[in-house]
Amino acid sequence: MAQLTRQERPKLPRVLRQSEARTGARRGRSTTRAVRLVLAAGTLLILGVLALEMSPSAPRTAGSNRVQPQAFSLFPAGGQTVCQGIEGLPYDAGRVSVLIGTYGRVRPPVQMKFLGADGGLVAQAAAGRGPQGYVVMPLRRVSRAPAGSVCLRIAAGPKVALGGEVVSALPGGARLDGKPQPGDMTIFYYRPHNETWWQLLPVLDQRFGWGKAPFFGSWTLLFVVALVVLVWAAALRLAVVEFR
Amino acid sequence: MRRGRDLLRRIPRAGRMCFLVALVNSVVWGLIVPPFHVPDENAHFSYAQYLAETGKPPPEGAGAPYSAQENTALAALSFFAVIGDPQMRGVITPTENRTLQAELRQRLSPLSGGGSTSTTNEPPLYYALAAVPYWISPSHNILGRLAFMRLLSALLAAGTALAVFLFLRELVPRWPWAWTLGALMVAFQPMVGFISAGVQGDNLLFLTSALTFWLLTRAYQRGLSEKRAIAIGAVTAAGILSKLTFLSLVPGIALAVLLLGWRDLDRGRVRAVRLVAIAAATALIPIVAYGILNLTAWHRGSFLAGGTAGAAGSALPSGQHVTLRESLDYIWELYLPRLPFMHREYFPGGYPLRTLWLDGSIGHFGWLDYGFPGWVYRLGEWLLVPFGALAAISVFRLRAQVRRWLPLFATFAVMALGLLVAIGYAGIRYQLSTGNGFAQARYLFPLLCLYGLFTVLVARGAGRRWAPVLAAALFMLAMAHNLFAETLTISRYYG
Repeated sequence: MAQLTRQERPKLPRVLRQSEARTGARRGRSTTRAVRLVLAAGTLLILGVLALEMSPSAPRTAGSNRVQPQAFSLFPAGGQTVCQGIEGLPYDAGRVSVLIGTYGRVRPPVQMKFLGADGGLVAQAAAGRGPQGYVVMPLRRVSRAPAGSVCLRIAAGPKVALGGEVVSALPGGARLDGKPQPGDMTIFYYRPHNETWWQLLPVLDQRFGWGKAPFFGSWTLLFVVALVVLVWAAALRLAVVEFR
Repeated sequence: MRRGRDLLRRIPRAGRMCFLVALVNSVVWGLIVPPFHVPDENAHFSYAQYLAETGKPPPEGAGAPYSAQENTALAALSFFAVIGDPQMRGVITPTENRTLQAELRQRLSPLSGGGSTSTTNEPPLYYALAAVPYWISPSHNILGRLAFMRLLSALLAAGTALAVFLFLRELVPRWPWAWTLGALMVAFQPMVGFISAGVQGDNLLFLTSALTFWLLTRAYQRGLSEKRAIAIGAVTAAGILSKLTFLSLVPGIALAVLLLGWRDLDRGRVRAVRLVAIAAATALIPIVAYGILNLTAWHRGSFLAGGTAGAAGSALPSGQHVTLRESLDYIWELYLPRLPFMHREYFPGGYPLRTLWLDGSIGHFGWLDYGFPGWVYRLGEWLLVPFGALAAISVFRLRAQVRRWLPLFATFAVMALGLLVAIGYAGIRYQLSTGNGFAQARYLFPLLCLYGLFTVLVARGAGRRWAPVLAAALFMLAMAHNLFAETLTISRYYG
């Protein structure tokens, strides 16, 4: 920028020029060392934080019935049953969750039954009394047949409200004690146990290849990781060379 | 061929490396983000598919906006159930994947009716380019084609990072660390990465804007020549033909070209006028040709295919009119604190400079449905204070050099102002018509060169000796930001 041009620069005695060059080189070396230190420390810190971030154990999703919990959409009274169609149970579902509002009162016990096309029991879940909100229930499979519908029975007690969509988008829309309803309820599925991201990696690897073009597969996540490592190596090398 | 190789060799090795790093990073993003989950990707894909199948842009009639092929893919991906709710996942079971692949194996029409979507009134340049990977994709599966088309966006994002590198090289030729820093900061900006993941016309807008900043700076530094005038005109035309948002930069570009001509007056008045005319003609000819095609061959209603009507008209669907004062109030409030005499509060949810622009740049991903935990945004806001101070210190220290660049930066300010006003002008009409917010942080990305420059000024604020060290720290911050945005995205869609 506004540094003096070669012609404008005053001529220094040779000894002074050498001394200036030596000082500049020393400064350059210390700057390079500091840059390397920042890059090394930064990389280690980031990897450490990433490792920590992946370590907490928490519920991990196994999917949903694709109904967004936009509003309270069904209002069964105690003793009533809501049934609606579903497109199977996810293979790794071990828990099931529905949003139940109780207008501030204690939630009555609930029971869910997943039924096959022939009406036979495929899986069931139940929860005792509790507060309102998302109710997570362990799912017990009794058959390997695909589930085609689900029924949620509210035990005797006050009226409740189920979270879901107010306009039904499912082929087998919800029915309250057999009567067609305008909305659907949301169902979330979770894997059987809480897991860390490390434990979930094989599952992520599988899921990464799904929902994409057919030439993607379970190699995709590994490929992405390899590309990220490549990008990091190239960018760090570039920074080491250029930041001086 | 040899000429191309020579041109490539004239780019420093660091610039070529920045291009490659940005390219691979964008490819990574493209593999992480599920199909159609970049904002409006379904509409952008639809436009490109129509153009690839028919050779012309969509007529914007009452026809079906999406092909049967795309509709089937969107349904099988449960696309509309997933967007907007971060709890929802797409295809994450083998059964769902088998269903999806079976649906996609059907022989469905790839041709839509070319009906109106949020993108159909845009010019066709990006979509014409996207048609190339659509055609050459070895897979005729719609998701296979989409994956190949996403590579084009990655290339454009890499080009943007390179353009920022070249821009900074012209501006601060004696600070090589700064060229690399600016380019890498753009390459690892996670919202840039996220947008470059998808079939999205904004990617060409970002590239042409960055190229414009570079070419204007180069011409200011080295003088306006015939080649440079043609390049500026061509990039301006490409920008307008990529997305009409670019029109908001045109007053600033015109001013810059006039400034360049004026600086060249001492080499002859006729020469200066000729060069300015060359730049203007190079920009105008393709645009006029596009307008004539819209009116005659493509029957798209008007010269710009209605591309500015929705944004610039004052009438709302309700019959009400937006007054000039309302527009000015809205534009002010979009960026600055509301003044006492502005009686309408357009952004009751919070101060847009923070909630929209800063937080949005830190990361509002997906269809604006997921982001970082709150503390990340607060940290970003706090970091902006010392960063701003360091940049201000740099400008003060370098005031003698800054003075030299001031005329050019005045034209850049006009470009930036044009963009800010255009966002606000379109925003109030959209907000009053639909009740939804309009602006997103990515709308400012045509100014990515200035973002790159800002990061350089921040680093230089540490002084000449420590600038590379602070540059390394900023670079690590950007790498961390990008990496955690990627892991966040993986957890959003697959976890």
